[in-house]
Amino acid sequence: MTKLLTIDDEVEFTALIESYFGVRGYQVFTANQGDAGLIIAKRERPDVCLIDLKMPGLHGDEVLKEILRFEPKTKCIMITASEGGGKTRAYLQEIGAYTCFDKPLTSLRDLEKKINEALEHGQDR
Amino acid sequence: MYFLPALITALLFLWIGLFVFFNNKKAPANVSFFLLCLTTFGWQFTWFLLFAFADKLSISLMIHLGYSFIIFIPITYFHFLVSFLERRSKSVYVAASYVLGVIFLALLWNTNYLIQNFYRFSWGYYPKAGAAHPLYLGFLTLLTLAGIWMLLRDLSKPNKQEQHNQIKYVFIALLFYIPAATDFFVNYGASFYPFGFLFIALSLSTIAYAIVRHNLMNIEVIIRRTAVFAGLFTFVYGVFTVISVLGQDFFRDVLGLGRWASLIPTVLIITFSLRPLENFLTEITEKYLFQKKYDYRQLLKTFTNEVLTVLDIQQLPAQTVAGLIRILKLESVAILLHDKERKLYSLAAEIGSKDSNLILPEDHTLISYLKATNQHILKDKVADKIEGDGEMKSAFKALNAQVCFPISMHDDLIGILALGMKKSGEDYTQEDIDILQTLARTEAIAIANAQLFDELSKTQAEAAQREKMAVIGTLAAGINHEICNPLGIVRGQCEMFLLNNRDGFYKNKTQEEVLRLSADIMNKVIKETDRATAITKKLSGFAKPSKRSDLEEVAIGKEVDEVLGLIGHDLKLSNIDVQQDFPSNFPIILADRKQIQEVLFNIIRNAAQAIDKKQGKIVVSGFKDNGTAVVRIADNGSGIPGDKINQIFNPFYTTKAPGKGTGLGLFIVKQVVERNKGVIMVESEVGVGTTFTLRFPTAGALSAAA
Repeated sequence: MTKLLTIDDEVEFTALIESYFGVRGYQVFTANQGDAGLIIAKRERPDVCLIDLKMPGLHGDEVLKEILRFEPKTKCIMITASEGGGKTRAYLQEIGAYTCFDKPLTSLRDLEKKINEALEHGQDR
Repeated sequence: MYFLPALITALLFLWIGLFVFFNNKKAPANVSFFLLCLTTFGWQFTWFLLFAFADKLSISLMIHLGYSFIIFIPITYFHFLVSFLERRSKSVYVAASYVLGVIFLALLWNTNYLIQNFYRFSWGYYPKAGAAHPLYLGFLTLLTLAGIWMLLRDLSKPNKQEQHNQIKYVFIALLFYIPAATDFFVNYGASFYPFGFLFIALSLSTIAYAIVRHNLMNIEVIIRRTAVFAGLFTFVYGVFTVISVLGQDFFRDVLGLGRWASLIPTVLIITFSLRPLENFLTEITEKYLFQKKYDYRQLLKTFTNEVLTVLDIQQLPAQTVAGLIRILKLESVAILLHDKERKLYSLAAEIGSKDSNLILPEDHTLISYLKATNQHILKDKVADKIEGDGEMKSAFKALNAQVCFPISMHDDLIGILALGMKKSGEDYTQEDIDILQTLARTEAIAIANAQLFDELSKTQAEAAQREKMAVIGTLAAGINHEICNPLGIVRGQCEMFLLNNRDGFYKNKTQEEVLRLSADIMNKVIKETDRATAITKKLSGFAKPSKRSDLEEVAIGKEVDEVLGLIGHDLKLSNIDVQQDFPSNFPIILADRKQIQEVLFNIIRNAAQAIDKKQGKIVVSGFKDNGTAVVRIADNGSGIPGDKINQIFNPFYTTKAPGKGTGLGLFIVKQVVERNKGVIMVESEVGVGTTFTLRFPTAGALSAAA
């Protein structure tokens, strides 16, 4: 079963991810803070992480770096603000993010596609 | 010494008579006044000779000489009144009375009917009335009554202000002169010293006053302060010269001191009394002789101070008008200001005008005159000076004005200052005009300043609004988060339901279960839309320019919540912990709610920007201090160095990078706080943090004060 970890300070968002992907056969873990997310990631070693970039406390990019440090194979999709711009995106991919996904959430289906893409890509590799 | 009053009175009359005569030798009023003074002088001077040197002169001759003058006093007085009031038709009576005077003169010198002998009193010799003397008294009474009647008639007629005052004072002078007739009792044997000189001296003083103040007989007298004080000091030093000479003799003779030792007490007396006496005399001279001038100078100072500090163009004219009414005691004052857009002059403030909606077009005669001359214009002079004076007269009438001054700046007539009659009935002297001209110039500067300030504050308000919009721009990320994220959730919830349904996840569920799931989703949707709506409301409320609304009751703690609702997320993202500590009994203040929000917003945002630590902290706390609600906003940011702290409330002062801040934030904050009757203070220590303290009077304290 695919393990999905969503780290976001917005409770409503993690709840939505949990219920959407839960019924679709994913094992979903949620965290609303960066450091809590890291603990779960270390323990569960998820296949895919959805990491919010802007979070109080530990920022998304630091969480990303830390996760990749102990599990470089993890597919991390960074949740960024839509006005983030190319610079942020390039930086995040440079430090190892698989891709970025814009928030506010436009489509759950698109997110699902990206996750599937990441998983397949990982198998190809 | 009984001769002294007569001598002084005589000389005074001669001096004033000559002064008036030489001022205008052709004017009948001046000539006849000179004759009146001459006869009075003759009377008093002969009496002086009689009282002083009776034993060396022929008493009978002196008495006849003196009486020759006395006979002509009522005649010259009548003559003067007829000339002064310009009653040409009465010239016949003047001539007739002179003829009668000559007849009495003949009686005096050739018979005993008028004066038959003389009395000898303790104070001197005095003529004794003859059998026909009552006849002369009757003639005198008749002339006096005629004079009074003429004056009263002219007083009741409508006259120009100045003329009215002149007649009034001539009348008073005559009333003072009449009691001098008590001297005639002495002719009939009463033994008292003839004190008529007192009354004629009073009469003369009245005339002198009318000359100085009301240009009687068109004589302009400018009293020079320097001349008066020079005279005063000469007098004082003269007195002391006499004292020193007499004192030296006195102390030498009485105390038997030596020539030089006797100087010491004299010097002491002079040293200790000279200065006080000089001050005393200067003071009373200032107070009585220059009272008017003194007042005006004071007025000018007060007015200038008052007017130049008023920067509100709405209030300036009103305050000026009220001030002039109060200080000058006028019946009416009005200020018209130029309205460049409408091309006219309209009343900005007035008291006592006849037409409070008066509007003068730019090509009005009065405007053109003031523009062309840049000089004041008196109502009395309107007819003489200008063509088309009908228009001018009606403007004066509407303004109820006596004089109009241009308020001009750089050849630009920005307004008109119209002054009405003085309540005292006195007219405007040249001195008044000079002072008021200065006032008008001051007013021009004040108005120009206020207009400039008005424009500036408009731009300032715009700047404040721009600053706010800039702030909102920087808030965009937070706002995006607060509005779009809930919308994203709403969309996600709905999308999930549809996708779950399409993908058959609900097939195995009962209808109730599906309903429960959808109700769950609906609830989440409602919650998120509410969240987005709330933030939108807050934002639009904040972004709106605050209007000058009435004060309302504001609970500051609640406003802090509102503000944190807007920027709380941003603060959280910057790892800034905001603590609030308002006691439950924190007082309500009376203020503009939106402005208070603005203040809190700016200070909290500034505090957040000042924080450069990993863990920021802002503490917003409140407490009650007597009648004051105190709010502290403390951060643990970088702090402000001592040499910068005095500048932070200055406009355009900023430490932020170019383009990051306009430098208006705290400047506006201070103004807004003060507008709400509050004060703002700042304390700071570099590396420790900054605390802003706001103090507002509580609603209770305000209503207690009111």
